[in-house]
Amino acid sequence: MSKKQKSAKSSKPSRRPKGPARRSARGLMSIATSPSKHVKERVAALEEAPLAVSYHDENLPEVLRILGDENEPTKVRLAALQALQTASFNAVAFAPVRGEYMATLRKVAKDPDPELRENALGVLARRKDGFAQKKLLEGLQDPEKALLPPEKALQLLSYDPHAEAYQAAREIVRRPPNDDSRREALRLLSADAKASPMFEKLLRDKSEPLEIRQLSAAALHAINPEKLQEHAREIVLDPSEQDDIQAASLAALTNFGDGEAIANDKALMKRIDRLSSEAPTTVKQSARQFLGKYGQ
Amino acid sequence: MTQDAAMTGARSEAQFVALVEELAADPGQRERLTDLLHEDHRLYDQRGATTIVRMRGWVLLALSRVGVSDDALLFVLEELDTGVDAYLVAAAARALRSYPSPDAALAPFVMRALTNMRYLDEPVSFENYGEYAVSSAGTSPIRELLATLAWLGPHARGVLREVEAFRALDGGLSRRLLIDLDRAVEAIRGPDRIDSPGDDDCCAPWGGLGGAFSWTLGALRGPIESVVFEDHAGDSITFKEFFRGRPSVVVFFYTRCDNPLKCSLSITKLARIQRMLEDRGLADQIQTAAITYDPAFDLPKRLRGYGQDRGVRMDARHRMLRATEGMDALRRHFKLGVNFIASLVSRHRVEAYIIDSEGRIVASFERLQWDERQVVGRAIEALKEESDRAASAPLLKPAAPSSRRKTAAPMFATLAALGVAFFPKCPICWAGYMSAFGVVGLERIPYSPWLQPALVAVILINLASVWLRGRSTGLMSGFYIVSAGALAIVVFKMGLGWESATIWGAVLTLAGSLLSALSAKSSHFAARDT
Repeated sequence: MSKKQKSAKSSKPSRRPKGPARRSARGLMSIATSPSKHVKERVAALEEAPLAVSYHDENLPEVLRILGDENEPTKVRLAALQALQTASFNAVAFAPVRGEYMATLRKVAKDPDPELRENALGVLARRKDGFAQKKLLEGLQDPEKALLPPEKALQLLSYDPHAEAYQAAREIVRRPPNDDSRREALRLLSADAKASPMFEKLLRDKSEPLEIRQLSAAALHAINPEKLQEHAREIVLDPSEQDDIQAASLAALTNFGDGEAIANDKALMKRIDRLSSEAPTTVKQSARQFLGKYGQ
Repeated sequence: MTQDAAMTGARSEAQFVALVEELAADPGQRERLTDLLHEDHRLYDQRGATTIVRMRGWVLLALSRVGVSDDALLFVLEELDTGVDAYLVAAAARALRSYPSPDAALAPFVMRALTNMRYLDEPVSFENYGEYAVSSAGTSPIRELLATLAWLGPHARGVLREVEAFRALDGGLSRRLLIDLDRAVEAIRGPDRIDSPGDDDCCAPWGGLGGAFSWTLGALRGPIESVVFEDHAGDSITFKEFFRGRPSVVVFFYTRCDNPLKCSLSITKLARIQRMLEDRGLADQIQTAAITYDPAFDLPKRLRGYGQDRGVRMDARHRMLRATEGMDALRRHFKLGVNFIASLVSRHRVEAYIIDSEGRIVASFERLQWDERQVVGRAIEALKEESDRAASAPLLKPAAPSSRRKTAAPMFATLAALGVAFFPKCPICWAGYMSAFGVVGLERIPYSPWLQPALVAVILINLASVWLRGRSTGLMSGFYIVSAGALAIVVFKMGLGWESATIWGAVLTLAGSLLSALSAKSSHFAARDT
């Protein structure tokens, strides 16, 4: 969710009209569609509108028009998008305009305004829309065609594991344009069963940022949990390891480990026993949790 | 570029489009368009789901121009039956209208697709390859389906009640689509164009599908017994260990499938099949297996969760499996309709199989959603066929070749060993035999040196037999003893001329052969018990 959406959501209650008499759907739409009204007023009317539009489908085409109209202020169009997205949850009532909505979103996905583009592509990507996936992939392969920054494109592509984005993501991991892109590419690849060796390497690489190592541990847990257990053990036994990674490894062993194998692992038990009294607080806590489960 | 070379997955999408146009333009090549609809076609290898949607959609549109043949019809109906992608369903609906004649049996597929797509309708563009609609002015799956219903006209009377109920439902259709729907209803109710009585029976079996509704008999498709699975509980088992001994119902799926009408529905139906088998008291006689297409991702925990969520029974006779070794052999054996991009499934069909107690496919249910009762019925038939076979086997035909070999080999070796042991190796032996059987003609059967090559041949035959059996059972001690015996006979008798020592060679040969025969027998029983 963008900052804009977040702020719009958090400010919603305060902008609603106070008092028992709510404005009618017709009144709200009248304000929302009137170019002579102030942007704030129109946005507020659209924020209130979703409940109304769900049951008055004659209003939906008008809200769609606002979304697709490049001459409308961006804030009003974003509010229209938000209103339509909320209305779309009522699939039955929304179905008659669904086609129009999808077509408008595809149009807005190429809008000059980056925020609108991002929001429209976000909605489409969550619906696993082929058009959005194609555009996002083209942008990753050719930055000149990119509708969004690579990290955002990767994030949106990761909604659908079938989006054929693994190859592009691997390329970005090899030659990342920035750290965020690399992180998002790795996040996307955490559903690729063939990426296990890469994540093992990243997890054990002490020069990698903590976030990447933690992400690698989570990825391994998803695609190769046995390997994660092996590495977690070795990380716990390694006195030169980072505290946070040791704590994460201890958590992995505690929650997902093979109880019998762990209980018979004397070297590991001895090491964790020591960590439970000598290590920094984070590690100490994790070690005590471990011993609470496996200790005698 | 030749067409064969062009059919590989390395082609660009532009080349693919050119190929489709070329095939569509040439009446002699049109059948090859249908080949392009097979999920496991090389063209789709390492392509993602959305690319495959574009490509298959383009093939369906090409078929809609040149006409859908009987062979292609199954693919068109499959899309209507289980498809949820707007572009593919719309293209399939359009393609169906190019079938030579409307038929009542087609109507339920159109109706099902209408129901599936009611809340998933969106504009599609058929103008150019890979184009996405950015306006709702064009067509959509619901529009295409309604046009197809209108094309069916009175042939769709079997689903008229459903169409009317569809019309009566609140919401879901724009005004424009409601107009299209009313036109379709009008066409269905229109003047009767049906020539043959009973043709408007939508539920009657129809020959146009080439038997797709029924099962197809198959034979063992290549070696598969060494495929290793891991089940939902993390236990390993080979294909042979699990599938040999009882007939099984096998369903393919993967947990990341995002089409609710395919894998999720198939596994839910498998759970129903299991309950039907339980109700008939056959849950221990007919096994079930759900095998994932995505073994690298579908770890035991995921298999278990997916099965539990859909009410699947999981125990020693009913397993959810992933192939840890031999996935390619599995694909070949079942001729799976699936394609991959890296390790991820990009496109697959619906498929269920009945396999007999030897692991052979005896029935398959492919592409169209199968009926649980039909699958259970066929599985029970397979069980009955095997019971009948087992009951009549001693009277009507010899045992299976493998078991015949297992019985014959030790017998042959034992006889060969006895032959060697009791073969008359010297004049004294001959005298002994003659005195035992009578002295008549003793002087006429002198010891003959030409019998030595025959003796060597018998020894070699026995050695080979014992070696073969030792290799199959993994117990070579019998072979070593027989070798020592053979060596003793040759060295003592033919080399050194120690006639009396030859008897020890014969004893060793006999002992080794008996040991080999007995160990083979115990190994056979152990395997059977397992």
